[in-house]
Amino acid sequence: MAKYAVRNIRLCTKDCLCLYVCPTGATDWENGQIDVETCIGCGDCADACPSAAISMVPFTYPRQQPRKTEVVTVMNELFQSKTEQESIASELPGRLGAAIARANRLMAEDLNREAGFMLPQSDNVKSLLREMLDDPADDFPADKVRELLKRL
Amino acid sequence: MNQYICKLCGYIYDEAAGIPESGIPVGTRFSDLPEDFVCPLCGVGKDEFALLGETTDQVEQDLSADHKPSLDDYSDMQLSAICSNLARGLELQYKPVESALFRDLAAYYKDRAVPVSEPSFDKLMSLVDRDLNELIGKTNEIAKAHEDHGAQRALVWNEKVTKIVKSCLTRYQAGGEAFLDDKNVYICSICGFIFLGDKVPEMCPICKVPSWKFDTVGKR
Ligand code: SF4
Ligand code: SF4
Ligand SMILES: [Zn+2]
Repeated sequence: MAKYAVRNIRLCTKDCLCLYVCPTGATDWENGQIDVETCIGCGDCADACPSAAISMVPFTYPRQQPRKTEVVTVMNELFQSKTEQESIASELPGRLGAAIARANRLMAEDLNREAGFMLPQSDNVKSLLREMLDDPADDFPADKVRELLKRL
Repeated sequence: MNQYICKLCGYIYDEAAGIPESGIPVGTRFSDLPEDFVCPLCGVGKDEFALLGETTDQVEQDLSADHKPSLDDYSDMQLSAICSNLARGLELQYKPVESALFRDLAAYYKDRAVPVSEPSFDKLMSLVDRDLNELIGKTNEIAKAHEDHGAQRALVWNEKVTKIVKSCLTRYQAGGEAFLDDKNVYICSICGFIFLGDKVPEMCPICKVPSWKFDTVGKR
């Protein structure tokens, strides 16, 4: 599957092998990123990087593992409970309330990811976005949804 | 307008952009490209290109068992969490623009979510107890029966973090805000593990990420 190289600036130590191994010069770009247009996806830079700072990113992702309706239904019940707890905790004062709200958001994200929303490019996400376009609210940011549908 | 990707080298032909410098005008359909068109990067012919999107071997999979979610199944708060989850996923894919769009949607849904009436620590505690005594166990049984390992992994983390939340709430109920006075509040940005103490833990005991994945909540 076709791939391109991306550098994680946070892990990169800035001066080493990837500059020497790249056949197209894509790793040596003025903005510190690897140039997508120039990169031919050979993977040599990722193999050579001593800091594991380069990932080979696919242009298209494989389809997600199918999920069973029975599992999703009960996962959603717990997911709903976590979002309700986030709502309550975010109304409570102090650092503890804030931390508990955040913890519940993270748990809710993990649950919905495992209940059908793992991959942003999946059919599940696209059909949800399409349904969002019918939202009747005046201030609904439909332009953002359309932009996402175009890009994903 | 579509995009076609060279299956060999990953070059993308964008119909909207054309290749004006090679005499292919803006808006030229892939099907209208001359038969002897070759990939400008690696030189393979037109039949090595695929429509960008889902690849063919994916389409052939049996999808009848796959669950199809629908918008009506979710509250605004849930939609907010779905969108913020997708924003995180796109960040991992190094797609900052798409990630920011989902962040905006997550904020929109959160803002318009109906607040819970009379929020209190007690109400929170009763939901925590219901999760621990009822929901997590029930969900785990069904996930096990269907051999859904991803769901089971999420439930392991969920149970542990929920227990931590319960212990924080219990200590708060006993000692009030004061029990936090001499402590920092740290949270694992991956799983939600909350740690109250002087120093950030070296590793998250639940999801095993290193200390730099922790955030500090507020100031003491
Ligand atoms: S994958 Fe190959 S072409 Fe792309 S940046 Fe790395 S070394 Fe260069
Ligand atoms: S080899 Fe890795 S660490 Fe070194 S400059 Fe390249 S990306 Fe950065
Ligand atoms: Zn963690």
